[in-house]
Amino acid sequence: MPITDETQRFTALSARLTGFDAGDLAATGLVEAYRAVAAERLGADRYAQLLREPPDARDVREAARAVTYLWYTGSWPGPSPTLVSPRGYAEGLVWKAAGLTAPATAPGGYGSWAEGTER
Amino acid sequence: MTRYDVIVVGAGIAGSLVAQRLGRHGRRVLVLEAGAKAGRAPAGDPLTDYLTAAARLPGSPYRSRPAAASPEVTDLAGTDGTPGFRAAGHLLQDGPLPYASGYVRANGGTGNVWTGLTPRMLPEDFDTESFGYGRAWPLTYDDLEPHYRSAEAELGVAADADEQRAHLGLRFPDGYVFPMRPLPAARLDRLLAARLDGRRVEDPVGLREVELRVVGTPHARNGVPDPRYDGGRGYVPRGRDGRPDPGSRCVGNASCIPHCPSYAKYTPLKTQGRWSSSVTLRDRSVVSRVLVDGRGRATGVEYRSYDGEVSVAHADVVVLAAHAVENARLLLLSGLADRSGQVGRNLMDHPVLLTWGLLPEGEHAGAYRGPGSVSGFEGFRSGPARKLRAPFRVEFGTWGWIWAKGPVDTDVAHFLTEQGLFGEELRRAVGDRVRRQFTFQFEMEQGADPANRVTLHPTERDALGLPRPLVTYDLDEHVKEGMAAARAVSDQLFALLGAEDHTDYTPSAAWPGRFEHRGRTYGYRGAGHAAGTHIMGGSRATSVVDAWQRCWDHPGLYAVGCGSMPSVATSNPTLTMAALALRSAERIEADLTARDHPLSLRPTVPGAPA
Repeated sequence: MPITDETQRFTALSARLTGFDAGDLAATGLVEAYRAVAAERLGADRYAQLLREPPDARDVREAARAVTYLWYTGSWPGPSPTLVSPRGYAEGLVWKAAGLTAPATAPGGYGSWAEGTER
Repeated sequence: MTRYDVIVVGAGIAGSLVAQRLGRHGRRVLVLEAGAKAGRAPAGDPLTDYLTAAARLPGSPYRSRPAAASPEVTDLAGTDGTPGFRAAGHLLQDGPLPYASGYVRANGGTGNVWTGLTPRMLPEDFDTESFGYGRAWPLTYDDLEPHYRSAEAELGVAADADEQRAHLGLRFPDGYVFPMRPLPAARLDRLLAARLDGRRVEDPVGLREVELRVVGTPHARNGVPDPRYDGGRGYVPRGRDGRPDPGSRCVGNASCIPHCPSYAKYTPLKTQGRWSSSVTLRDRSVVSRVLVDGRGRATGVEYRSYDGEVSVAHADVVVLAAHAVENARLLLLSGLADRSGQVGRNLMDHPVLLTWGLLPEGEHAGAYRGPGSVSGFEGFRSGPARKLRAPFRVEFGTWGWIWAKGPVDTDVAHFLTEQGLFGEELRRAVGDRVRRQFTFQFEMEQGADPANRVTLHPTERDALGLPRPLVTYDLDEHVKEGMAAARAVSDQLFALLGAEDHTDYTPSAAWPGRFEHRGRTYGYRGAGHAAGTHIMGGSRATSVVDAWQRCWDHPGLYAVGCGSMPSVATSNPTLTMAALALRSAERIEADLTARDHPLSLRPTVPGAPA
């Protein structure tokens, strides 16, 4: 299977899991990195199954949660979650979902804490 | 071997300030720091370390070295049963409740990772014996006041003197302004002020009503300089390494703990950057013993490199500034200064009751955009209610639920795993949760109790073979009653705000500091404000150091830091510690001057021996 197709399928899956569209996900610059992490962490069979089945199907639910957690936090889940990269932390969707930026990555300037955030 | 005028043990805030002041007088000062300087492998750049840390804990940028280990927050875990916690790592514990704070052994010490809040103590805090608890200072607020101003200059404090005077009863000289104008209030602060200012809440334990008023907290964090400062000379903010940086401002990185990437927050590295060339810093040097002569006068220290090599350095004055726990440990290792039997005793902290929740639907707190707390309620700190319960300062926590529940990753896990959400539903739920989160942090005064103490562990040794510190700690009824009052206040605050209270001290593993009191469960965290372990007093029979932080038993030996504080009060203690350190530096300089010119007041006799 050509990489581009697989990337597309991973992006489509990620969009369904996260609630962010393909453009938002591509803008993080992390699609390829996360695809590789997911494939490695899940193993070929579970990864292929995740791409194939609906994300709320019982037998892929845990894998779906892991990939979603990765997108939201930059870390692969576990007893002590592993951060994939500083970029993963900075681009965590949890901040974008709240209209914020990750601490220490994109400060708003003096007094920015006094203002409202965009909803 | 070089002989020094002064040896300072510990390059944190207190030690760095003492060294700076004495260096300015040309004194030869050797600073021995157990931890490593930043930039030495494996600790690289603190920002990189922060961004790559799996868990961004206070110690993240300062990875512990075996030879100079630090307690980590993760060393403590709650358990079911009695006691309800387990302590591992450097700082071991055997008390009924945990001492829930850590500290950092690295160049700059815990001062690298502090929040940067610098309230003064209240005048009445210097003598709580009239309230029936604690120990009185041999100093008054007015004695310390000029040194508070010095500390505010050294640390670079942004605050509003008029507001502090009006709402806290603090006395300042006429016309005093802080170096920098107060920081703008956080969005959360404004919201709370709009809803709550002027409202009254019942304190069912202190048996009174308290009027609520949102008051800005003084910050050692660069803001807009006040041109009126210093008689109109103004103030120049200091940036990285203490360089003058007129444009340096807090820009809202929201990562003050553990690291301020814009160098707006004060750390001791700023003071170190201004040390004169007569000050020498030797890092990775773990002092293991203070040396004294036959008459008890301090003569120097013995210290060890990370590979165990033992060295000795000599000086006329030795200043211990290694943190309340490590100062006590070092005095105990040396068998010194303990004629009163108080070394290591009277360990205090600010146990912090946290309550947390969500603003009403559709509102947002503006979390994670600035300092971790900008303002608070100050009305529970003073007055006769202190007889009935511990007083407390209320900080508004503007980093969501990070202190109570962990980083926002916790919220993601909650909605994914416990609620099974995906897609648009997940995005909405997570966004709504993080936007509406806020925390109240009730910081309790804990009175000096000799039973709360640091001793040397009878069997456990660190990597250099030195006995590890062992802490025995508990909270008394006065503190527990303070927490009961705080929870009752919190309940009313949530009701007045129409906010959802999510406070819940479970699971037990996440709450090592947990107890039942009058049928209600309370959980607390430690603020990292260790105090009292070489307590200051007016008598050598009952205290370890005098009002100058000189060990009663040993001329030439000073123990500085929060360990000297007879009461920890309700203020974050760093500013008071800094003021005391600067005051001690003056005393040390006077001692050294007397040594240099013992006959200066006598007429010179020609031909007399020099």
